[in-house]
Amino acid sequence: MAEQEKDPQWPDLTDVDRLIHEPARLSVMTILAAVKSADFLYLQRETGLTKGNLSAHLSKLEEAGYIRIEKSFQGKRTHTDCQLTKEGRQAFNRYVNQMRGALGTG
Amino acid sequence: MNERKIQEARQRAFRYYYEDGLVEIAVGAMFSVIGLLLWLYERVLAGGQYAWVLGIGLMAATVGGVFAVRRLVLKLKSELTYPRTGRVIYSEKAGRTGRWLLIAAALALAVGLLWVPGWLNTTATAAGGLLTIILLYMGSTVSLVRMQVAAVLPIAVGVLASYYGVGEILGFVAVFASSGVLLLVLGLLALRGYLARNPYVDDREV
Repeated sequence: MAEQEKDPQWPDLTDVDRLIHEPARLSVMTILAAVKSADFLYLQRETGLTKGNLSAHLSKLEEAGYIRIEKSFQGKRTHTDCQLTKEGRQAFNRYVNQMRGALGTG
Repeated sequence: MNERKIQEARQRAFRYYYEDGLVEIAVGAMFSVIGLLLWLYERVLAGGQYAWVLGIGLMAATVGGVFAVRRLVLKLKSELTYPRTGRVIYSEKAGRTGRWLLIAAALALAVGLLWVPGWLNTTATAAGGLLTIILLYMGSTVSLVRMQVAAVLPIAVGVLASYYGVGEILGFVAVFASSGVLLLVLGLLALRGYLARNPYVDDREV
């Protein structure tokens, strides 16, 4: 069977960045896109995720090269700072433009 | 998550810097000191041989105050805010457009003063108007109602001072001292509420 042609009027969302599209990770990327850096406690509070859940999502984003994580010590506490990488910012902007086009809000 | 939600998330990140009230406390303290120095200059040392000392003190308080406010706020945030609700560092690019709008509004105020009645065209009105514009801008940028409400006071005091002809320097004193005290009170109330809502996070990882 021949492959059906896509209707050009319908936006193509099949290639949306699924790493960013996941709601928890989208929340993290959105916050980091608005600031230079944010620490773990701020991200946890803003996203409402548990520590373990947030750690897992941050690891995935770091593996993809979208965020940079810097750990330091403040007394006995481990302090984790996160910031978007250049690739992460580009990927996020691409995602936003794609969604803007799909939702017709651009 | 649609674009509105993305904008809301950005707005919350900017608003976070003002949530604890520390900025208002620091700025309010600076305004109050400026108002006090101006009052001392007018009432105690004006025309005296040591008036220049206060003049220098005033310049130092104003210029130094701007730098001191920033450092003080960051120091207080690292002690009070960051251990409770986390730390955010803002991009320096943020707010550039707003700063140009602020400058444009200040220029519009200066030009507008040329067309008001003579009794209103005073430095107290100008100072009050400028502080009002700044507070309105900050309040609307971060959606903080208390700043938008506080913005009414400086221009009101400036106009009243002009109406009653209190004089240039006392007019300044009235604008800065009243605005300073109001910002201090609002900042302290905001800090009290923030500390009550956000206990210290005693955790090994933040």
